[in-house]
Amino acid sequence: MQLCSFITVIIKNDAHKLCVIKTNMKNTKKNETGGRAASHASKKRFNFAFTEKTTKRLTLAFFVILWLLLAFFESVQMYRIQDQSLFLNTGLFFKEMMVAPAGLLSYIGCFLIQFFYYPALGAAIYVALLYAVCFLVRKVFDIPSHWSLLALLPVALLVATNMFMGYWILYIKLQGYFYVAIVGVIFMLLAMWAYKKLPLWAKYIFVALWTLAAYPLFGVYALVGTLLMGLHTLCGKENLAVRLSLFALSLALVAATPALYFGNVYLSNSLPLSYCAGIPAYQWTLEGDYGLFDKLLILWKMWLPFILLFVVLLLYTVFADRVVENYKITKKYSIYQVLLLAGVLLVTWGFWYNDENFKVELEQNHAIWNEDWERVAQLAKKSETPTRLIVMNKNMALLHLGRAGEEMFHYPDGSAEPVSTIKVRLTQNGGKMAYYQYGFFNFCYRWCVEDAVEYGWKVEFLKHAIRSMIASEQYKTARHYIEILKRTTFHASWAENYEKIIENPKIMGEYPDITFPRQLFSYKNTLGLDESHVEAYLLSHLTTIRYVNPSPVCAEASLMHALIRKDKHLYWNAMYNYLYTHMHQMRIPTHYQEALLLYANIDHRADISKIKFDKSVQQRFQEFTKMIQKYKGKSKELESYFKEQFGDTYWYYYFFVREIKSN
Amino acid sequence: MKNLYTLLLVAATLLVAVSCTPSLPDTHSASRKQAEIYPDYKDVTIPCNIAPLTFEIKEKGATSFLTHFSVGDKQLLLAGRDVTPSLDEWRDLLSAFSKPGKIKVDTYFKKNEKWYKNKPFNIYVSADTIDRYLSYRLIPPSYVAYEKLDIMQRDLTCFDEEVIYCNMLLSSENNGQCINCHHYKNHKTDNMQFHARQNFGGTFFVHNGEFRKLDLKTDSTISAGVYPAFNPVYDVVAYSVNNTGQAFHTVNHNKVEVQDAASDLILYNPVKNSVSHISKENNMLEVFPCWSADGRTLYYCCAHFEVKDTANSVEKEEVIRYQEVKYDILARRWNPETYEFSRPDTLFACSKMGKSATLPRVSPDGRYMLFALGEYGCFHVWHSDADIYMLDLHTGEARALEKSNSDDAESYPTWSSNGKWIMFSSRRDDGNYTRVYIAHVEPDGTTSKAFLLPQSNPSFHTLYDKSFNRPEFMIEPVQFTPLEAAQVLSGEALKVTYTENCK
Repeated sequence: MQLCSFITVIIKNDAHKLCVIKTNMKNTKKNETGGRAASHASKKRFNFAFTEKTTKRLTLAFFVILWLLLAFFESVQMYRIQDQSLFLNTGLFFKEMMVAPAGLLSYIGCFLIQFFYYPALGAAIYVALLYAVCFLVRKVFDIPSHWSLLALLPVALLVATNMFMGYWILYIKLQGYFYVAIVGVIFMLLAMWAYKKLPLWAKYIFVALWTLAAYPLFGVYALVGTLLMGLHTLCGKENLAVRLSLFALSLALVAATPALYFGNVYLSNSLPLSYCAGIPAYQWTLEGDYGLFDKLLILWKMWLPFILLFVVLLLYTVFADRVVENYKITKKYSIYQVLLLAGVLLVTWGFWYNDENFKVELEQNHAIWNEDWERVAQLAKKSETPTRLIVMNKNMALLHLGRAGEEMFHYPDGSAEPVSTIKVRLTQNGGKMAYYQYGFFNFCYRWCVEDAVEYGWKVEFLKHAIRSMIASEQYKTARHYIEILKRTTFHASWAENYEKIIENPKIMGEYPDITFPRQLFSYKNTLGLDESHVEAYLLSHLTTIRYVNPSPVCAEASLMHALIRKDKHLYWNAMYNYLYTHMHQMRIPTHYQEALLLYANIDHRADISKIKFDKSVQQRFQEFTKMIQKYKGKSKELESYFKEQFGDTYWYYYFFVREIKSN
Repeated sequence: MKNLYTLLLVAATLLVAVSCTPSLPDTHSASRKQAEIYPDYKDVTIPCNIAPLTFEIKEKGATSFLTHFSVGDKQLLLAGRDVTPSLDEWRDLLSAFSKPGKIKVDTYFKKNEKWYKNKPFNIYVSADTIDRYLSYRLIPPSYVAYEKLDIMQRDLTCFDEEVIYCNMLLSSENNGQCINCHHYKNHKTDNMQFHARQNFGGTFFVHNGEFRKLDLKTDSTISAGVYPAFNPVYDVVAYSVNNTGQAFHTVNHNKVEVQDAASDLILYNPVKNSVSHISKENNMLEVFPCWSADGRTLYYCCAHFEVKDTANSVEKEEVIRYQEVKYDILARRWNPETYEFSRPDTLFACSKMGKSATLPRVSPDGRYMLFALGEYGCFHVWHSDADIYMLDLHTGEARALEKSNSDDAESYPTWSSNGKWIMFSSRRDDGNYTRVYIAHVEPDGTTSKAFLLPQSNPSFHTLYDKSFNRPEFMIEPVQFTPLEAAQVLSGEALKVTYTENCK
């Protein structure tokens, strides 16, 4: 919406300053040169119009606004995107990228993504490259400057290929994805530009050389480039035989090149996927809960911007230079410009993923890495229907802040499904962090390795692997990942900072992000499986594992999870441990008092006579039990009343918060 | 004028060449220690036909480095932290060795504008050659997930590496293909195999140069063939069949346990395309078959495991009692006339010592047996206590290969075709990635300090994120392309038949 209103302002300003152009085809020259008089004459009929200046300004505004959105509005997402990528300054990394077609694009993509470490800088590079695309589209397709909005359409589609992703940023397998299409299109357009300038005889050689040499580097973008070249000649003015032969050659090259490379040079893709190298294709074969319709939907949604992009470029190849030259600055022209602008905005904003829970999760993740637990907890209040990850992060934060017993039931609870075409699992989204924070270092590491196999190593995985291996004193393994992370541009200092612990483990206490989880790392070893259900595993293990000399934090984590599980046997065990480890505490926190009153009421064997309760808690409990008795059988209908009166208590959670699905 | 330009160009080139040629410092101080290098090639024994040993000098704070190799009159001086002799330079050095000898290595470093010389170290060179090829599977050290897997062959005399087969040729997202257990008869490739699981699953089997795809699963066996052992003399292959599962440690640094809930041994006759049981006993877990050099004795590992709580399944109870699963090495005589096996004899009762033996491999001369020994279980690649042991089959004496082992997991030992070299996987470098280590076998049956498989880039092993799994020597390269193997695997599998005796 911000984008729309900003552009409207620009149009109005331009309309005000530059006035209106008479809609007479015969007078177009006049309009272009000294249209002031003509515009004055028609001022009454139109209150704004497009001129060359307007389109230029709108184009500029588009890029400025895009930069602002990415650098500030989406800065946390941009940072996460670079954390979900990896670029190493080594020859081995380059070699590994080049094992598949479009490898160079992946390499360049990974290189460029790393600059989102500083979102404003990354966004500036991103926007600059998009501007290059815009410039090249105009040059290659001979689009005159007063039609430059046409060149924004492919740009908007390229933005769409990135900004529709949402949770897919955690699942995308194409390395360097964020830049692959942009850089691919740039190379494609450069090749097309060169091709158009060549004499006819050289075009045959060029198209063959381009396809064969560029396919390994640019994958599908090389093939589309070839197709554009063939199509351009087909629609040209040469004799028919020449046109047909070049077009046939380009088609043959597109069909044959991936097959030629498959098996002989590239072994890391199946043949059908070789034709899609450089665009995400594996979604077609997703496992598990996905039926044919789901897969088609996912693929359609993922590929739609790409399909539109390629279609637009093909249309430009065929029509752009013929059509636009017939439209000078006229009324009709202005209408087309408005439609074009609307199309550009529609594509950009329509594909832009905007989900509150996703944003909260991203920001919580960012805050957790910064050890800003207060912010993690505050963010949890932003969503009325939170995902399990938001709730888990909030509980983790409160445990860190020592306020779980006072606040953990003051926040919205729920298990909203993440809004995505892919089934989002905690193992990929926050699960590693949860395992780490609760002292399950082997499991955190395990999921780093499993996901690295599936999606490639990422900065975030390396950092998790390093911390979990250091925290569990597996220093040799930690060093391996430190050595890798030291080869990055922006995370080397982070790695070097943690390397100090390996060199001198005594200083581990100076790292709060390691010392806190280590307090929870005092349980006996067991063999088991989490079946990819992180929260269920934590709920089960934190309430049942045997700790060796449990720390107060262990006991509290165990008690918190026993409360969440609403299991009286687990509760009494956890409460006993809690009281044992908090003997010197003056007062039992409110929620734990609430739970004591509730479970003692349910389980009459428990003697709580010696426990000192707050008067206010006791009073409220009496009120609550009275209300429950009074509305027995109808309490469900009065849920909102109870929420208003007791929504911040464990009692409300116990009786009314149901159908929570742990992930 | 043109000639002048040419002359200037030649002169400039010569000047650059001369200025870049390193020379030993005129003055230097002596350091009291040897250089710290990675990989650690100090005082290792290498074959005379091995690829160049490249390494990185770890001296912190130094700005310049020089490394001086000398063998009698032959000298080689290299500059830089990364010491990477070229293939020609290295071969020139090694050409001096028609009999055992050593390369003396002096390293210098410059710190605060002053040169220091470390104490020298030696690289011992054996006149025993090593098999030219090595194959391994490249796999991330993952637990359950897998994506791209390659079985590779590496030329040990240089750095050339080729793909034997890549699973991605026949993989899709929801139907991936796992590949494993590449194995060769007598280190040659005209009789060899590897398995493919899941998508287009089956065994890629080369029999006397002919390729076929086998389905080794029968209704009478618990699984298709798993761990293979080609008989070195007769045309049969022994396999284990396994019902395998995994579980994960919450604290233990070993991280994962791979366990068999059931396992037996079968014999495959490639001529008749039939299998029969070798061993199928209740409460006994038989695995890792291996033939004697004369092909008349089958060795294998076997653990006795009984469920104590009848309410539990074997899988469940193994997870609880995983440390009680201990494998001995057994032997059965085999009659190649009747294809019958004798009753098993215990060759090495390590369970009585509280240990567990896996992966036996007999030397080509039949004198020694290598195996991996750990505290428990069958998957020592994840067991940091596992070491390689050598059993003298003449005396029955077993000993750890002290010079070659480390404090981390050693597993999968194997012999070169001449019996002069052994190779095994080790996790000594970082605790999690298996890498190939090679050691020389001395005449007395001991082994030298093991050296890491050389790579062209010394930092390769520091940065590479895949394990070198199941290293196997080969004396020749495989005789098919990856695409040919994919074509065979994508076709119909030849189903084996089950008989009481597969003769």
